[in-house]
Amino acid sequence: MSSFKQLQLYVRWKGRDLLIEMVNVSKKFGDGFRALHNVSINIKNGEFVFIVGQSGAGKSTLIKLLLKEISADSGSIIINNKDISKLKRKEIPYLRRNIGVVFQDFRLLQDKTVYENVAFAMEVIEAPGKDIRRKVPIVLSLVGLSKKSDLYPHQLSGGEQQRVSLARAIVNGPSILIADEPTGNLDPDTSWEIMKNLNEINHRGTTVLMATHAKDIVDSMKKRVIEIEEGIVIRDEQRGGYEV
Amino acid sequence: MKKYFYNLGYFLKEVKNIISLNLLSNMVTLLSIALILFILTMVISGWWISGDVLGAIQEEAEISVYFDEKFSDEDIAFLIKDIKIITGVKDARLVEEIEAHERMEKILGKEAQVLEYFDDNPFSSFIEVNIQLDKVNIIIESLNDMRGIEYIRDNREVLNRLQNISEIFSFLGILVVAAAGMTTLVIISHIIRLGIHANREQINTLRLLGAPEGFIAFPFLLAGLFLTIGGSIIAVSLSGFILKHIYGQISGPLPFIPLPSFGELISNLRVLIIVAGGLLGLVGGLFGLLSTRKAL
Ligand SMILES: Nc1ncnc2c1ncn2[C@@H]1O[C@H](COP(=O)(O)OP(=O)(O)OP(=O)(O)O)[C@@H](O)[C@H]1O
Ligand SMILES: [Mg+2]
Repeated sequence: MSSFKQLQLYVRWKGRDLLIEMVNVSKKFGDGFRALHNVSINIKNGEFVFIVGQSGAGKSTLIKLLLKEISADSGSIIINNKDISKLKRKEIPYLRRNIGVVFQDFRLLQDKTVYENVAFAMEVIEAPGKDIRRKVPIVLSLVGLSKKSDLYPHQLSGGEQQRVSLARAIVNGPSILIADEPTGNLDPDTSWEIMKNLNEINHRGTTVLMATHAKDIVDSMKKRVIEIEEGIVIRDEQRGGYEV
Repeated sequence: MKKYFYNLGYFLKEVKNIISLNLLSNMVTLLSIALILFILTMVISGWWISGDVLGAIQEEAEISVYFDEKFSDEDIAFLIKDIKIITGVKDARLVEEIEAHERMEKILGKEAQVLEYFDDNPFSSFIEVNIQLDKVNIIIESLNDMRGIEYIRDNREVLNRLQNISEIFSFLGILVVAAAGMTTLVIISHIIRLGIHANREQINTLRLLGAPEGFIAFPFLLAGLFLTIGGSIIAVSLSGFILKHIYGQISGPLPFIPLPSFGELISNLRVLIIVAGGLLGLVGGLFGLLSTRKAL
């Protein structure tokens, strides 16, 4: 094989391997406040990454940029080989279908049962009913909620609600799962349950990106840690801890 | 579009949810729209009926010419011939005393018994002249110049009054159409905004799940349509009821007024008001959606 061909293959492989590539991304808010400054982060397929930093450091802003809830002022964000700064408004939903999201406050639809909440994520992307009936029970059993599928969110504990939201986030098989303080409203034991689920999801091949203040979790999971301070990446280490 | 039918169950459930979240406001909205459209329906009916009646009466516009009683049959025949050649006259014919009497009996209907109090036939013969309404003034001038004509009864006053009524209705009609249209638009776009506001968290969640904007917006449009079409149906039913009463009031004692057919009037109104309501609901809903687009 010629070395050119090898190089080509290597580049293609690398390109596929790289899931998220942020280059010199900056974001200022309307009042001129600098929320992120020259952030460059590469995340590979299959990684598990913690994003840590003090309150107001810019973690949620980073996540909102990835979901294109807000747009960067400068720099480029490439997800799955697609530059999302060039996305048209109409294309944004399609970006989001490839990204599962979980929030601190669960954001379940209160008038829908557990089953319906998860099925709904498939309905909005117009999945066939047959797929919905097949997949929803699978993800519900993955997060251990098979027995509660007919209950409504208000009948569940916080941890259970968060697991519904996890199931909903992964039911469409996204390549990335983004979680913004998913354990922020949960007690330590419940938090660990969620982390087990997240770990399991990661092992099945989904890249996980999680912003958190949970020192214990970060310290004991020994995953990659990116630390942000006042909008700047000040640390990015493999198998890191919550603090240096 | 296919996918929207596929998900109709979901959309209907969302409509129920949107409406029940602000149930009271939505009910008030429904009733206000019904009221507005009811007024609209009534004015439009007035417009239609008066226009129709005026048209029909203009078609058969005629004046009555009374002549010297001493005229012989020959004199009358000459007079009729002279009248016929006046421009604007369509036809002229003699109405004998007996026919005049019979006609009055018909018009009076039940009250015709008053005629029995007369020993002689109180009506005299006259010449009935069918005319083009817009030439009425010239025709009357020419008639006044003729010899032997004692009295001309024209129905100008009645016709003018009808014309005035019809004009008032068209003026009111345009005014009410504009006002009703705008009010409905404002009310609907407002209630849709309210619905969107009440559902903003869910909308945000839907967006993050990758739902297309059309999918998110559709139930709100549908809710707007429900309110306006519901309002139209109430308005049309109510007007039908009231118009029926009015028709009864007019056609019994005044059978010679050429009212348009009731069935036709109602079915036209039904189509017109429901379609108009639907369009207003759609446009109002779009306004509501567009005006909140930035805010969400
Ligand atoms: N829409 C906005 N307009 C103005 N300033 C904003 C906006 N959103 C965020 N900020 C500011 O940007 C900074 C970073 O916010 P961000 O939410 O990213 O912090 P965070 O790291 O997620 O904090 P926490 O750990 O408390 O969630 C904060 O100072 C915040 O006030
Ligand atoms: Mg945050």
